Amino acid sequence: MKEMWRFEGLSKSFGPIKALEDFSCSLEEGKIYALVGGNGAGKSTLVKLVTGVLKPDKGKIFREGKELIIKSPRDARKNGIVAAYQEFSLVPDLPVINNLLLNIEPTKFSFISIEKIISQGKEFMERLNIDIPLNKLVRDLSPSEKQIIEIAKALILEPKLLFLDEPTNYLSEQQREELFKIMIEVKNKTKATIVFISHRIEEVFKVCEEAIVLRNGRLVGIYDLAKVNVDEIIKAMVGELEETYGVHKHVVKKEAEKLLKKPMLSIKNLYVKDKVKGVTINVEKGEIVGLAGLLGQGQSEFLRALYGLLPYEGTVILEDREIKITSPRDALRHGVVYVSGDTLEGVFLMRSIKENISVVVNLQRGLYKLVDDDLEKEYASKMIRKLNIVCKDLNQLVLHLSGGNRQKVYLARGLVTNPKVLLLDDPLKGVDIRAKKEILDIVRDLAHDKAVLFFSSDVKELLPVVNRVLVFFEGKIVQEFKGEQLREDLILEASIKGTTG
Amino acid sequence: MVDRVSLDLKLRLFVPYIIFVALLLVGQLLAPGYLSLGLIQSILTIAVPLGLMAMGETMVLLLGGNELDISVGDQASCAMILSALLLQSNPLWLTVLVVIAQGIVFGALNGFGVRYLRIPPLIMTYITGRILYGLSIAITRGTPSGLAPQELINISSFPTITMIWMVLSVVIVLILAKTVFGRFIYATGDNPVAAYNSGIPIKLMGVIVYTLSGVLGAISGVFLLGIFIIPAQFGLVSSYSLQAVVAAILGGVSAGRGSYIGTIGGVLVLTVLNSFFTIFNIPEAERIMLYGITLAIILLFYGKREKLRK
Amino acid sequence: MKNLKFQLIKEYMNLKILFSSTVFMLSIIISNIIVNPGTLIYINSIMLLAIPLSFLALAELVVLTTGEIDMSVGAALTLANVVSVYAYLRHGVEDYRFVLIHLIIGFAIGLINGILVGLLRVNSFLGTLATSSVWSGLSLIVLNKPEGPIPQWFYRLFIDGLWGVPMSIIGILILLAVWIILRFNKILLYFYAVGSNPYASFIAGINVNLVKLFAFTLNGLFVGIAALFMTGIIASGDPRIGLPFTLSAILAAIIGGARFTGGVGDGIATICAAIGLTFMRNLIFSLGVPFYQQDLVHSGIVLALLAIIMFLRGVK
Repeated sequence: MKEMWRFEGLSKSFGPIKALEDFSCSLEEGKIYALVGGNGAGKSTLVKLVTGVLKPDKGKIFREGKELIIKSPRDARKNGIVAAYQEFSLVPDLPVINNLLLNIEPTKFSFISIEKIISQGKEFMERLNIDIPLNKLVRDLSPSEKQIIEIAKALILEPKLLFLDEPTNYLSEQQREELFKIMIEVKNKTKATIVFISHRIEEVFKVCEEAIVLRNGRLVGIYDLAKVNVDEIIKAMVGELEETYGVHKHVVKKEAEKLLKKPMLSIKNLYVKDKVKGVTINVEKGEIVGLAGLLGQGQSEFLRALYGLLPYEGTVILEDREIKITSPRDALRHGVVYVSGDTLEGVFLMRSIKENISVVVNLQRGLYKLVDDDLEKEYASKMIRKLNIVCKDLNQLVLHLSGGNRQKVYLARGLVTNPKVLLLDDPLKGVDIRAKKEILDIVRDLAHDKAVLFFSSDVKELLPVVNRVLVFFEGKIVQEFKGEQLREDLILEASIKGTTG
Repeated sequence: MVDRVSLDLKLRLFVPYIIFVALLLVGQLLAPGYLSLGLIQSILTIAVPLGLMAMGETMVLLLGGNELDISVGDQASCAMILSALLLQSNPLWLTVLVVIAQGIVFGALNGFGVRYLRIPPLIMTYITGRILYGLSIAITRGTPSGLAPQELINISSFPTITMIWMVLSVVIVLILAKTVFGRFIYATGDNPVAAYNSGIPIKLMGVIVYTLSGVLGAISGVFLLGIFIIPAQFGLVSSYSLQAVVAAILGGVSAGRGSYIGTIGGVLVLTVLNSFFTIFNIPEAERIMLYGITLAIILLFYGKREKLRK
Repeated sequence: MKNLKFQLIKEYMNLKILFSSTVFMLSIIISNIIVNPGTLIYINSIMLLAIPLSFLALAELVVLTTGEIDMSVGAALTLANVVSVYAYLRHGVEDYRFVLIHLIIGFAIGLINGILVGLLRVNSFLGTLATSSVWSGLSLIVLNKPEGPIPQWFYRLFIDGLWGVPMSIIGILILLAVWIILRFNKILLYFYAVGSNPYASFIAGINVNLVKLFAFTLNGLFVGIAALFMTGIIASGDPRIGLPFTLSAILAAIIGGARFTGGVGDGIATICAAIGLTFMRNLIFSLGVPFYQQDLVHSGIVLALLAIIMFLRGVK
């Protein structure tokens, strides 16, 4: 097959974070490639760069040897580059037919020809064997129906380079088979190049011919899937295991309570939207439970629901009492604190360190109260010391702190109130190594009288502090690791494979 | 780095005052004899109603990029007409209480509509403003009547009125800077998501802030009556709403940043500009246009929609 | 195939919204007639009065569907009215150009608003509020008090009608024609798309900013037509005529199904709502509400209606 597409030096950074660095490769026509990589590997960024949604910092795109200037999704589409996105690019208030033919409607002097649009739509849907009524509004579709339309929308453009970003997430077994059949048909008939992204490794091996492996924003290599096996791909995705953070593993200082058998925090059968499907976890006092798995498997949604940011179904029992958490205010009242990796949702950049740390304390004191400067200073200095926050003084604006220190402030704010439950949602993303170690040490120290749930996209962060690790896959817990089994390679493998045992 | 940002914040406070002084000098140049002690006194008197309206507006603007109260002018207008009516046969203290009640009712209505019904602030406060306008016509049956009694006129002249303004200013600045409530206003304006995530009761705070804005607007109407003695034509004062917003923005107020101290400067600037309009006989029409153009220019630099392609 | 076409058209017609809006309009008209049977006699002039508001409401609708808002429709109408009458009174423009000026001014205003909000990406709430001041001020400069008359032939048009057909009916016909043309044009689809999910529209290759610019320009054209009818009704130029209409136009569009966040809204429902609101003013009058309470009652009802609609939508 001849080479059709070539990428040279594609790079994109967001501030200090290098999402994609110097990506170069060439793709042949009429082939199905897989695009794989762990969390933060750069897959979405690559897709968005090529489809014109993001502006590359550097790099060129070639088609049949000719350079393409892609300045917008429109340019990309003109060149036959189309994507079906993971987060869907559908217009909820329009019916299916209009979404399918958006911007390519059959018109006569700019008037929609209803006859034509219906016949085109019908013919297309029949060809693909899709059973969804054309006049249904997208907002009324189920997630799997939306997924189908998202894919159909891309296919109807008769693309030459098609990206399918996690297209099987909401599809049933049968629907997936249909999709694979269609992919192969399209590839054979139109000689299109298809790039398939999925976190399910078996799928990748089933329908793809070659795998493009990314890691930390860089291309690791392109592998012929007929010649390698799953473990080799996983190895390529995961890379050489580097040193873990911290030396000693966490030993839970359990007091007599261990014999009590009643856990401090008990979560039964939690369901969150369609992201968490019946998770049950029991956390004892002083225990740090690690959550692992690929991104987007429900870990975040799980934690956020426990903090009242998302509605949930299921039972939450804290210290023997059942509680229902409907908002962060609720959660804080019960002593549940949440810290995420996105400081922008937890920290006030234009306010001082002192003020940020004291927010929840002030909340508890009451709106009408005067600010107690001394009290705030006391809390703030204590936290600055404990967490080793690098700053000039506590009146400094958080804006001026580095990412790691901002994260510490975010954490400090939660810790100051001496919470009962600590929910950590990938809080160390983008934090420098030294700060990471410091934060992990503190979490370990302070955990003795709390229940801690700690999710990280980097297993290395979990190992030094947790008692056990639960691996999430598609909204469920598929495996638990403790004791001797707490090894990064084992956990990563389980994350990717998604199966038990 | 520290110093640059806080220096920038402090500078912002000074800018309107510098403009104020510059304008005074310009006035003196263009119309000799303009600058006099009498003028300063009169500015410090006439500025007060706008100052009070801008006080409420400051708090609302601090709360968030979308938040705005354009009913303050109508609060003042209605209060002015209402008090002229009531003062004919009621003591001042009672009239003031009624006016404050007006402020509370319609201010809270704004807060409720914006926070609980999710009606965009611009629309909600605009409607409330129209209701107040209609109310003022209704209660006077189409003919405003009454005069300011001597008692009120005395209070509304220099230096009493200016001192009242100063006292209220100190109170507001203290509330904003030194109470938990004030802190939370800044926090919510700076980052509403983080505010919600921190458990800050943003709905309740919204209602309180809009109520306060309404009350301040209403009180300013009483002072307007004391200054101008005869109640104004219906809706004449409505344009003050926009001026209050411009004054606050000039004073460096934006979501989560700024202080009433800066707004005072903005108020002074606008008062001087208004005096120019009178002295140089610039008619109402041009004034309205100029305010519109100014606002449009300010908007070009502040608060745009974000780009789709990053 | 026939079935599908029918179903699609049903979807296009937004039946639920259309139904509630028509009910709204009819109940007000009927209440009006019950309270004051005399209404039937001058129903024609009330209908005529509803025409400018209907066009303003349509103008507001096209902007709202894209997720923006226009606070200057009333002031824009005023400017178009005033400039045209000025041209007649001071420069003797009395032929077809008299009509044309209305449309050109409307279009120009729409274009300016569109550039400001669409291309320069200024916030539409505040931006159009600012331009509204400019149009108001300009109107007062052009004519500082109401002045007349207007060209004879134009005046007679509104008394005798066009070829015997009263202008109120002509107005309704134009309104319906405009909306039907718009409904089947792909630009309306783009309005909905841009309002409903600008990101998805961007990905589909639609130029979101240009679409918004177009929406405002269309808005301006509708305002021009509204001004045309208004001029005929008041038979003069009045620099303060348009101001109370902005709010009613927005409310009519909201009753017509539009949301502040964009993506929805039906033209026929909006027109019915505008007619309903116009009759409501008359209803208030017929109920014996004294003139000095009319503004209050009107604004109060506007708020109550808006609150009910927002509440019901929030519940869903």
